[in-house]
Amino acid sequence: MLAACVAAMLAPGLARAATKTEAQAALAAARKAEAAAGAVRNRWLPAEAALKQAAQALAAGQYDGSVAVSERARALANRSIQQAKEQDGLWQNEVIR
Amino acid sequence: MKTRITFAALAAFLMASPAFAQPAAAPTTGPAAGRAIAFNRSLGNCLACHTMKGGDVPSNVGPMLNDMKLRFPDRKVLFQILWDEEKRNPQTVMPAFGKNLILDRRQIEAIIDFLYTL
Amino acid sequence: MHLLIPSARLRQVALLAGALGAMALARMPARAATTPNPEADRLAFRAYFKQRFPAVKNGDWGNGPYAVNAGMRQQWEAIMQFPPYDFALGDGEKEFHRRFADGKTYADCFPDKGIGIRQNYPYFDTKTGKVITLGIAINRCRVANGEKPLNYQKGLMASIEAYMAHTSRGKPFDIKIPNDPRALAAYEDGRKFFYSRRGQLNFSCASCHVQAAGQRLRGDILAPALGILAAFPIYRSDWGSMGTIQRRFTSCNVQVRSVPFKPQDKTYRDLEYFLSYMSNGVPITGPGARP
Repeated sequence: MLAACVAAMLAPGLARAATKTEAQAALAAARKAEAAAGAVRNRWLPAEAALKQAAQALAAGQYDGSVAVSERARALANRSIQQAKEQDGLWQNEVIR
Repeated sequence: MKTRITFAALAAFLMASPAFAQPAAAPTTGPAAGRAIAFNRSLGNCLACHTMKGGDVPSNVGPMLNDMKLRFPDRKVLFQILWDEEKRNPQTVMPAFGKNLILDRRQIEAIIDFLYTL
Repeated sequence: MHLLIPSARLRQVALLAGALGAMALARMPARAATTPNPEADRLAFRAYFKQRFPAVKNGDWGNGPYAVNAGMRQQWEAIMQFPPYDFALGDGEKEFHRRFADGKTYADCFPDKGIGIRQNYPYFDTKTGKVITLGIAINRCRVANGEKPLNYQKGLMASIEAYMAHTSRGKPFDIKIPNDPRALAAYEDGRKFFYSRRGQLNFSCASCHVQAAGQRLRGDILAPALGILAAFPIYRSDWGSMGTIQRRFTSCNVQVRSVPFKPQDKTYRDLEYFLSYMSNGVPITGPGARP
């Protein structure tokens, strides 16, 4: 995994470029995850910022960049959903008793 | 395969857009890079809570950062504290830098390199 | 470890199990306390802060960071020679006594003509089943008298609240939780929010205002949660203007990198309800000034 990443870093030219359809799909998936975060009332600002950035990149035709930022947005959204679920029980640890 | 494409693309894209200050845009490894990440307000922002050599602030939300090698001989322990301290101490005020995607593994390792110089 | 004979290992396991059992038992009262008990919570809350800051007098909790830090207190006393909220206070007083088109004033909307009543807000309205903050009550009054509702975070709303707080200085918070399961649910909702971590930074309200209360975040001293709302509305140098409790909730959420709720969202009202109840007995000090 790490080796693959390093290889990809060193030779980005070898990576296949993302298409517009792929960029659109990635953004839609990220938006769906962020909507789910909204449903548990726990959206994060960095996820919102990344969504905006991904949409701008898509509009500018930067599909690789757009896909990458969409995936980051989705990861952030998923983590915020997980946080909300965890805190449903963990908040008890902080209560003054 | 997909990871490869997106990782490279993310790095390239973010490096090309200075306005979007993201973890991946920071310098890479070693104590100097770690210091830059630690002192950057949108990345580590360690000085908000900790006092340490070279940081001219009176913060004391977290413990003073000194003699780090002596106090944390096991690198893995320090990594876990930076990754997700809530797991070890449920009442901690330390942000979950790794778990919440504030910093990536490489950046955390760089910060540890820096902390070991303190 | 290899040398442990089975009986010794068994004994170890038994000891461990015993210890775990004792721990579980010791935690039982806390865990089993699922029925909300606001008054027990309040006493524990108060006792916690009294123990952390034994030198702080009851009348001083509403002075937040200045109550717990001598250095900051000196700066503050200098600032208070010409309080930065004075303009807002004047505006608020004028507005409060202004006649609406129908000839009425704000005084007609409130008990005791709106003077010296800030300590009773928020309250639980058993008719609507909702927590009513002072801001909501002010806008209700306006709308009922043909005026437009105000922005809940700053401006004229903060000014009116500043005046109403000023007439209530020294009166201890007196928040009631009526015998209504919905009131208890609202309290519990606010309590859960106060202690739940949010945002990418993974902070709860309690992270800063309980765990790190009185400590230095760069140049600032984090205010203890006890009495924290007694000083509102506040002039905050960081804002360069006045702000209400709802404005502070919003900005706190942004600081932990969480998308804030809308002002007067149910959760924010419930949070205000919980936090004000925790401060019952602490005198109103508002309007206040903070860095």
